[in-house]
Amino acid sequence: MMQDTPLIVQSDKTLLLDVHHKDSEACRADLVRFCELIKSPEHMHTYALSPISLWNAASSGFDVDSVVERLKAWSRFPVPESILFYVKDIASRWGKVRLSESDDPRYYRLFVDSQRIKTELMQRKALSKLLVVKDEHSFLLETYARGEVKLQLIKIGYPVEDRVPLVKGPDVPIALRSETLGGKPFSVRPYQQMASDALLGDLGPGCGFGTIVLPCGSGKTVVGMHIMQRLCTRTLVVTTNVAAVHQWMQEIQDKTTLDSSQIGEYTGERKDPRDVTVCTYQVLTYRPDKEGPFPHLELLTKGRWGLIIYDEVHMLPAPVFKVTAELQAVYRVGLTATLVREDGREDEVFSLVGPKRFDVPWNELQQQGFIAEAYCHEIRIDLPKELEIPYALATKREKYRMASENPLKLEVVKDLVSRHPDDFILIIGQYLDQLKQIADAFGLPIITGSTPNAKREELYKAFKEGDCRILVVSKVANFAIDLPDASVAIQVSGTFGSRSEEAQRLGRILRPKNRSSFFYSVVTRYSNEEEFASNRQKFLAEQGYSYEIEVWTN
Amino acid sequence: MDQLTDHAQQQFMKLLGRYSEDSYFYLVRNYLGVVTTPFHKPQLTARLCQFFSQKTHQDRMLELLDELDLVILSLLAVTGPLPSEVVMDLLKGSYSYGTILRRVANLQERLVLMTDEGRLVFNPLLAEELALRCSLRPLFGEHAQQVSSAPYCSTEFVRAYLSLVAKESKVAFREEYLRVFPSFEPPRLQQLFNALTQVLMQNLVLTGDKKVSIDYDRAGMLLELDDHQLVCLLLCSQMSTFRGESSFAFCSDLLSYLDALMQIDTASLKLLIRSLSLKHGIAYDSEVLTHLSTWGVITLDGVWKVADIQTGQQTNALLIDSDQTISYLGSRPKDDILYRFTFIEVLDRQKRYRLTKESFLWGLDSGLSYQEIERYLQDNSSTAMHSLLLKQLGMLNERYQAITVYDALLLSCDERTAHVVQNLPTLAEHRYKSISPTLFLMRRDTEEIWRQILASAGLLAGATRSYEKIEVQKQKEALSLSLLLQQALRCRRCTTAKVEGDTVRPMIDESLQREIESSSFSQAQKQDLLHRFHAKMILSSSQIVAQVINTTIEAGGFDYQGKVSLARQAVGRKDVALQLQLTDQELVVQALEVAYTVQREALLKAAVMPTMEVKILPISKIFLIRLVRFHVS
Repeated sequence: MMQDTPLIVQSDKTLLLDVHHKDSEACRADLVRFCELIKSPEHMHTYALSPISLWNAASSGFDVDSVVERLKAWSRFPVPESILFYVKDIASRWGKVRLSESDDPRYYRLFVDSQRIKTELMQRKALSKLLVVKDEHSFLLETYARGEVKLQLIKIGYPVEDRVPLVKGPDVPIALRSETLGGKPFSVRPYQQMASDALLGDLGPGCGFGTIVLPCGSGKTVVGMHIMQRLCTRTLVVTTNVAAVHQWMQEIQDKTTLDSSQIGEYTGERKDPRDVTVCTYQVLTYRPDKEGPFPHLELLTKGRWGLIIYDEVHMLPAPVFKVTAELQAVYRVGLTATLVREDGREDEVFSLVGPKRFDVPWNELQQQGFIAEAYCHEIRIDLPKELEIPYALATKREKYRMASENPLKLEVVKDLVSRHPDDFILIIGQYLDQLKQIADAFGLPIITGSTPNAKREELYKAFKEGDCRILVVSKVANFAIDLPDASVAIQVSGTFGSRSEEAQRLGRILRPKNRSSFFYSVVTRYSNEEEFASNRQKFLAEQGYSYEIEVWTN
Repeated sequence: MDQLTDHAQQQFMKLLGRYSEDSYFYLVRNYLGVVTTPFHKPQLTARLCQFFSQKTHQDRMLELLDELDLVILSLLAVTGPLPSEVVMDLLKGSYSYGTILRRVANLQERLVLMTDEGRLVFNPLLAEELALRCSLRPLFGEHAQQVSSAPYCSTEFVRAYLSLVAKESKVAFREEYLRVFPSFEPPRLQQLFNALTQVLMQNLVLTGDKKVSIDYDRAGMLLELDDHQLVCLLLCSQMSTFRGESSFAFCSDLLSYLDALMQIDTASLKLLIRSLSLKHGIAYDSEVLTHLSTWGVITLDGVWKVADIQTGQQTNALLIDSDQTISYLGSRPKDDILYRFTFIEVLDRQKRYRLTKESFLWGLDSGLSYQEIERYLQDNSSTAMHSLLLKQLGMLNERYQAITVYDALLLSCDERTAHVVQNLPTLAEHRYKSISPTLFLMRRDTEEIWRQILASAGLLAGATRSYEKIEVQKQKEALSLSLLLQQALRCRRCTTAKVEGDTVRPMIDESLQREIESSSFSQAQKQDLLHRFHAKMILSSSQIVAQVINTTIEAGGFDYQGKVSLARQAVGRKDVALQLQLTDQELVVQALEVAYTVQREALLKAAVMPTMEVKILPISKIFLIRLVRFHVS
């Protein structure tokens, strides 16, 4: 009853892929069509069947019989009956509720397959207030409610087959260059191509929105630009900070045929929307007073965008959720490396921006050389004797801070820096006093939240151009900062147990280069920092990264 | 082989020798023909034995077996010798009482079955051949084409359960556990949890109420069993009719038969349970079916599907992944310790445990040493997988060892005495630690013993006790776990039960029938011969002789006198029953008396079998009366 295949289908709807099996690649290629990648540690990758993944498969024409056939073909053991039933049951719901245009442009029409579904919908308070009965088999809803209705329907297990075409924005001719403006050859990598294909499909109903998950340093920006090229329309890119805004602008200018006059910045410092505009989440969610409106959200709603790119989509702030729900007619893409949100609202983000369309294990790209090979180390040091009693008496939060700011870390940083005389090094931390102390001790430049943007740009530039080999940075550099030559990161402190922060920080040194990268996390031994560090490492551990532990004494 | 035959012949003759005169001569006359006086009984018996030892006659007897014959024979193959009343009782759910009664009697007439001290046994001369023809299918219905993959309470499940209890320090079922055991249906998992908790508490594997602790020595003993033995023990623990070894043998047989059948309907399952209860001499426990379901041995899916209980699975290596999950396919060896220092995440086709700081510390607290864990991981996974993990564990262990809390007594003495305490070999096992040259930590639980050792060494230990003695209340065990385990270890899955029998097509030799019909015998003789021919009692031409063995055996319709006569013939005979066809029912009775009303109407007073309820029936209301010989012994 056992066949020599790489997949184990579990009763909890997870699928375990033995990555060392000779057919694992072929199997993976099938799995990504109807499963979600959950984790990809070294040996056994976990995928999961979910309603969203099965509906996505159905919407892209991969029908239920094909799913069942693939499962049976790849499964090492007979597929549990409960799984086959689940697949058939869930997939059969696709197409039972369809959204299309109506005669009146102010409304969409929601068709239901049966009276039973109609009754069920009418009994749901959250839905009934948004729907007006049109006839025996359909409702009308206002166009703005499209996202909300879809969200509510997904929650009760009815995916909407959205046949309303996305609105094509004003034309903006965009093409990718084969040679960058800087004179380097440039092409889109196969997985980047696959990612944009997965999102756009044939540009028909059900395509053109979703989330793409790629490891840090693997070129998500290029995926964004490739999508821009396919759609050739007015585009808004929303990212995490001004430095990232400038990076996007530089990248677009460097790798596309757009000229600088077509690329605009919309930040706290400059509000200059153009055909392709890059803005920050901060500016969109800025409001002069706590109760007042968000003056810049209109950029999203009234900008006549044909495409919106949400960079680091897992950071999507709550006020943008609602607006995103109203922007269902626009092509949109979320880009991220780390699906995890500590507030657990991942599902909401993905149902508004769109389901996960593409994901690839980190270690696979590492093996292919598209991201750097990275070695992670956790260096444990003792707390100085004189701090042991104060530490023992401190509250939990104080303990964490004392352990994080352990003064002996300074010596460790010094030693680590001397280990890597030829590398470009980032020293990353959470506490400004600690970072300033390090910067002062070694005479290093520092970037924190209070560093003016111009100064930040200047320092990043110096780092990129090799004028400055070591940079001390606070959490402002956690995301979206592209420093291609950085190959060593020394983390002296972090935001408690944040898994995405750890991954993003590692991501700063993952740009492929002709040397390996090293990530050091310096932790105080026998303190609660150890536990937080262990939690921080979970996401990366699930991506196949292992931490070599070193204990430094004296 | 000859010796076997001799033994069988002796056995045959011995059994026949015990038959009543009436039955004996009935059989002799049928098979050997007319018996003339004077006769020599041992000679007749030897001739009969010779008749049945002939291969042609044996083959003929076997050829004549039909489906119902095999049902009865198969039942006896399962249960062993049974009184005919019990056979009828067991099969009454599937066949009418009269049908079974007649057929059992017929098998006795055909000497396929014989009687040994009131119990039906296979004719010793045919026993081997008959056993080969017995199978489970005719008794217990169609069997499945493939085994069920439904989960059951395996040793793997018990390990996972204990790991969960260790993590939670509780035994109460929680909804979240469904994620840990996804292959179980929710109500069944809860049922299983509750039942397992009860058994483990009963056997002191688990102790405590609010905060539950695990006795890993006992758990280890339990996990020494294979799945078949474990399920036997669990079933026995719940049986209200528990009778030691017999109950274990019953459970082991039950599981073996179920394993062979793969699926079974409720009525057949009850029949199987009853049959095996009889076989092992234990009272029928109607709850066994529920227990089988609780432990996951059977799952209702139209019919009961039987779980594929493993007795010796291939063990697989551990897969240690970078996220500190440790997983494996299939099962682990009996002495596996993974569950003791990891927490279960998923028990499914692939079992996944997670090693956390808490789980590791739990392992150390519960008596595992770091070295054991280290050796275990080294032996069961590749270096690349375990090296980083071991390093982390080593550091954690170092930290763990930094503090030790002893539940001990402090023995303080002068230097001279200390020298003795330190060096007396018999004291070594009672001494935890020397904390200074004159201070020792001594075991609290063996205080009485080391005090005696000190006293006999000439050292006077102070009499004043400055501590409050802790009374450890040992919960009384219902049954000694070690005794149960000993019995469980003897349980072996017996796989000799044949499930599918050969297709049965009784072959009637019509030439014998023609020979009877064309004979010059009287009508009564012919009728009697034909009756015996149809009853499959005529095996060869040598039996076709002019005689009447059975007088009238059936009367009906308007033959009122015939019916009365038959009823009168049957009165008082213990080997004969009357099968009565009434307008609305059929009864099998033993005639007690024939009486007459004032109007001279004949009334039959009879005991209705099998309840033996006495009824009085006007013979005129009986449509058909048939005389049935139901004891040929």
